[in-house]
Amino acid sequence: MRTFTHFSKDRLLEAFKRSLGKLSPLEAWGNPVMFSVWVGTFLLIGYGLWQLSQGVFDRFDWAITSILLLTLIFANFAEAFAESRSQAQASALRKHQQEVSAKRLEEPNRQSPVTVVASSVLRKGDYVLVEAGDIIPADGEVIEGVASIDESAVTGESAPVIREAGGDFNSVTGCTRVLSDSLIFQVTVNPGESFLDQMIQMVEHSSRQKTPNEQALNAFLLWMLGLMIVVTLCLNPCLRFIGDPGLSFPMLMAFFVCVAPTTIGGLLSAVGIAGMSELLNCNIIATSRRAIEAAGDLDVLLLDKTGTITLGNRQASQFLPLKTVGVRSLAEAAQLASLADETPEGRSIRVLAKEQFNLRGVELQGAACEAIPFSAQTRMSGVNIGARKLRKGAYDAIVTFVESIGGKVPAELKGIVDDVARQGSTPLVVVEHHRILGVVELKDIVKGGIQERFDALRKMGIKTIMITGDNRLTAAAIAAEAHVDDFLSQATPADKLKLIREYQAQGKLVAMTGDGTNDAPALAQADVAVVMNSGTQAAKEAGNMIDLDSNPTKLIEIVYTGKQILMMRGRLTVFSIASDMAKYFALLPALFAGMHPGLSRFDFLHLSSPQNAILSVTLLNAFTIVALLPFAIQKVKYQSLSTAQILWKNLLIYGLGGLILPFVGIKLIDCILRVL
Amino acid sequence: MNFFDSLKETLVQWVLLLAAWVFLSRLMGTVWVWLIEVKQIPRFEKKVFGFLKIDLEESLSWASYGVELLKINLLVGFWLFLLLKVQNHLPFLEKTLSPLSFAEAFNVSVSFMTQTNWQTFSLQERVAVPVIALGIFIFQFLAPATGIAVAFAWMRSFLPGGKLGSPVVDLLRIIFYILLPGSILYGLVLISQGALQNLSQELHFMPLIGGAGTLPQGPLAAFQSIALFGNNGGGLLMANFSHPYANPTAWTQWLGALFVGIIPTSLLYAFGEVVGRKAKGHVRLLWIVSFGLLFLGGIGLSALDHERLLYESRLGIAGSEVFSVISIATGTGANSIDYGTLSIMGQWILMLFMQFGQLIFGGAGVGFCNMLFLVIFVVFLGGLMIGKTPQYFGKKIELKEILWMGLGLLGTSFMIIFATGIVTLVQEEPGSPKAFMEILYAISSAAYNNGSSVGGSFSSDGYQFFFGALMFIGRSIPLIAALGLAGAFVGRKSSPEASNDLPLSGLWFGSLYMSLMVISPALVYLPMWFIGPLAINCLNSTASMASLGNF
Repeated sequence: MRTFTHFSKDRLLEAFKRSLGKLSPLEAWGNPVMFSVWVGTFLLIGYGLWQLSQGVFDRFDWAITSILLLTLIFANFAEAFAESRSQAQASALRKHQQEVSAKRLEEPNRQSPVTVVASSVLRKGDYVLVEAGDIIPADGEVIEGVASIDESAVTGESAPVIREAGGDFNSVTGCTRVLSDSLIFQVTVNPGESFLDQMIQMVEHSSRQKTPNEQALNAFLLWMLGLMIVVTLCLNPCLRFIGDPGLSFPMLMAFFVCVAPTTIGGLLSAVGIAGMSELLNCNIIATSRRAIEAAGDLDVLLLDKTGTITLGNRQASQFLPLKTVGVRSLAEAAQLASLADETPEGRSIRVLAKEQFNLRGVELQGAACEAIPFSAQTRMSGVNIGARKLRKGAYDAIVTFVESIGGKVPAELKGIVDDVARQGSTPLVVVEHHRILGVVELKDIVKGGIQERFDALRKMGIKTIMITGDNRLTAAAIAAEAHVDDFLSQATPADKLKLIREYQAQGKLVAMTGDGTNDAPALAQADVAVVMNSGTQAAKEAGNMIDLDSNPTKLIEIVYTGKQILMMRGRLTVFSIASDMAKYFALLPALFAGMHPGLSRFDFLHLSSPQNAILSVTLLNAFTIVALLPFAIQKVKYQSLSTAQILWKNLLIYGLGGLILPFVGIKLIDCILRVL
Repeated sequence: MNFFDSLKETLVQWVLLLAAWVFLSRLMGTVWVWLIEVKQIPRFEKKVFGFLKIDLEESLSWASYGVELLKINLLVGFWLFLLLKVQNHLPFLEKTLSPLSFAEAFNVSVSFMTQTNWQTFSLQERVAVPVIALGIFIFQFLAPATGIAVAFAWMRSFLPGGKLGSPVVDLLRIIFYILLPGSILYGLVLISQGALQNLSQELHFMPLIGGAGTLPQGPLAAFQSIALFGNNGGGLLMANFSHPYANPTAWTQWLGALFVGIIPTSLLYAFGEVVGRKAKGHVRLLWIVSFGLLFLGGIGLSALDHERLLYESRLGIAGSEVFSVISIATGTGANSIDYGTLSIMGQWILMLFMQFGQLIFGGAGVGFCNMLFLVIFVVFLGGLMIGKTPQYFGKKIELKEILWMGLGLLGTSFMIIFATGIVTLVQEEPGSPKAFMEILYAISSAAYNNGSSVGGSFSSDGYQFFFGALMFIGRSIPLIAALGLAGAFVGRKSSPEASNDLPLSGLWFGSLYMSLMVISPALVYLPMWFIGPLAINCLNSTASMASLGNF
């Protein structure tokens, strides 16, 4: 998804049009504060028309009516403007959702007959064949084959990804394009339920569902609103009691709208929508708004080491031979043992041997050379070249292997292995027959700048835990280098689940990133579960956010966004309450000075006339909404400050600001009115 | 007396009060904690409860806890009502008094049930001593115990285990461990200083100038001691605590102020102890802010009214000011001077203390609950502003909590404004701003169960019912809201302390708390203040500044 320029002319115009449409009572009903303004405005219009029918035209009354109407439109505009970005994002998504033809198979094999059908006909469980150049017609799981796929339509990422049967990269997304090869996949969703459909729905209806905090804030606003209605209703009886004629109906309405919490009421939904589309902008799709809110509260973050904290691939950095072995012969043996190893690690060993000792890899020659691939049982890989049997593998795997064929493990090996592990690297022991030659150090490269991010998280009070399959020593060293707070080594899926449950039992909120099917139980258990888009369908279903870029450090952005939404709500509420005080002090002396001239001593603004005072305050009230709109929907750079610092900053800016700025604004508007 | 002389005297009293309250709130606080946790119950008590067939371990839901309290209160209320209606048929009557009218009996029953103790006539003249002893006295203990029991339930919602306790056990233990010993102690002090304590209705005497005279009599010391210690505030005599029979010396007056504050200040302290965590610092902040505002109010009153208070020459100005502010702020409402004689701004200060939400220490239990409504509101806003979903000591503040908090924080104001609107609407003739002020003050006083008054006549049957209803609803709102909150909190999982929690103590939380304490009533009452006290003040000051000097 691209970024949409914030204040383009088209967007403003479009939002303005939509804000007029939102004047219908059905739309207004959803927001109690603005609905009360809506009722007031239309009562005033009715009153004005009735007056007209009596032959009375009061400019002042109509001025108030139009200002209230303006307030309504501004509030609608705020919502429409925030929505317009999500709308644009949704329509960008929908462009991809074209009808394509699909090759449906009877049986999941390449020999079975093919029927060409429209993608909308596909149902859950159908088998589909896609070949190079085809658009994948639906979400599904790969059954057979491997292919490279361009997922830029969904992720915006142009680098192709590999999808293959089995393992953690077996899901395909509709509307992505096959670049090479072909595969057979089984459709996993019915039309209208696809990933893209869900995304569009989420984006378009983000204002519909209310999070627990929004509900609470709304409840408070309702209380305040009710109180202000009673205050307004009781104003005239009280005034008449002391012999004052009381306020006219338009004056009362103006009074009510000024003291009702319109600032927060008008901007509340915009804040929520903006947060949602902010996440979309960082290529994250949240499937629940509750999860975004929860993200702001996270206490614990579980991160996979590989790909998150370290670069995906470990690299050979050093050959450490035993005393009796030359470093060159170790390098040569290691290189040979890695000949058949096409993993990045294996490749890096060959590269290192070439760089350090200028050893050229021997070509594998036919039958004389037999590759022994890595297997989960032996946890070793290697090669048999004629009579030479070369193996490399983890320390305990090699020790078991050597001892099983009657070899002896030299005492010094343990020391070398531990040294390597303590530095956070992975030791790979190389052995020829039963003779141990030495150790290759595979270095984990910690991503640049990751330390700062974890430090920032720590300052936010979030504990980071690295999850890794490595042993304790290696894990501890990497954890220290990356500045994570804790680590879970040799982690199994059950361990992860247990860890999450333990933290939750302490009442903490846990977030987790993952992609594999074996992560699914832990993801389902976590409060915020971010699944990589490259992950399996099972993992995606278990999570509540999907990261289209498959970049796990995104959690930090998610946390920022969650916090920002809450903060903005707090700021606007405080501003709303504080500015009410200022409006009172501008309004009341003006309204009441007529009956007790002495009250004018509280009129320290010295507004030109009571009428102008009311007009200025109502105008200010309306313009506050649009003036604060950019603050409400902008992305604020999160500063890692302590909570006390954040509190006082916000209190000074929005609390004290809300108390003082309206005075300035009212005086300013009054000066303009005086000139007019 | 000039301002600075009276200021010196005032300061001495405040400093002594501060020291005594700090000491006593710790002492009493530990007793409260023991009562709240229902632990280490002495053997004789177990026997007593066993004999009464009351289960000490019983724990009710918040709603049943409330219903149980309501039942007990209504039962006693009905008993008192009945006594008032048949008081001419009771035994041991020294003088037959005609029964109260239906409206009056209703008003008096509700008034004592709700700790308001507000009447339009002198109890001693209209109500027989047996009714006072067997009816009103029960409420003088039951009413504060009810408020404290609700505060107990609320504090227990933070304890692990999720139990709110049993109201019957709480009421009995509060009355027998705290209210009775405390009031007996202060009663003895009053008697030793010369307060009156007997069971006669009146004393006839022959004045030297001839004719016949009567002097009011009654169990004044006992009544006054629990009226102050339990924050009830009523008096048998119209003059309340300003009568020498009830308040004989300057010492009894200062001690009265002291006793008024013991329960409110110590309950707050107990809350910090019960919750643990960082609650101690939080509670200390609330304590200091409350005391600070109380002190400021006192100084404000002496600055405004050091001249007018010359009315009070018996026990000195300073002591009366200190007592007035403390009595009003805690919702006690007892008076040792006539509040109607204060300057309009002085009266406004007293009204402010009520309209702040009766939460600056506040009355027994209820004031504590009122304070927490505001605290939860502040925590809600503060929590949002630091970007964390708001929580109070690990308990999340969500929809349910906000609904109850809103009821507690704004419900009473809602009713006051509404009632003021109605009263002004039904008044046929327009009144002066002064009359408006009296109406607003009386309604606030009834709704917040304060019981003080600055004048005005509200003795018609209609008003008796109206104010009775106000007192009852005003009493129910904080109790229901606090129990509702306790019920909401007790069901919530408590999350552990974290370094990024909103700091609940310190300068910024304190200033947010104080500003919202001022702003939230100002939002509601500012128009009323403009119509009432501020308008009068402007009238007065523009009319003649010089006339002030005549007082």
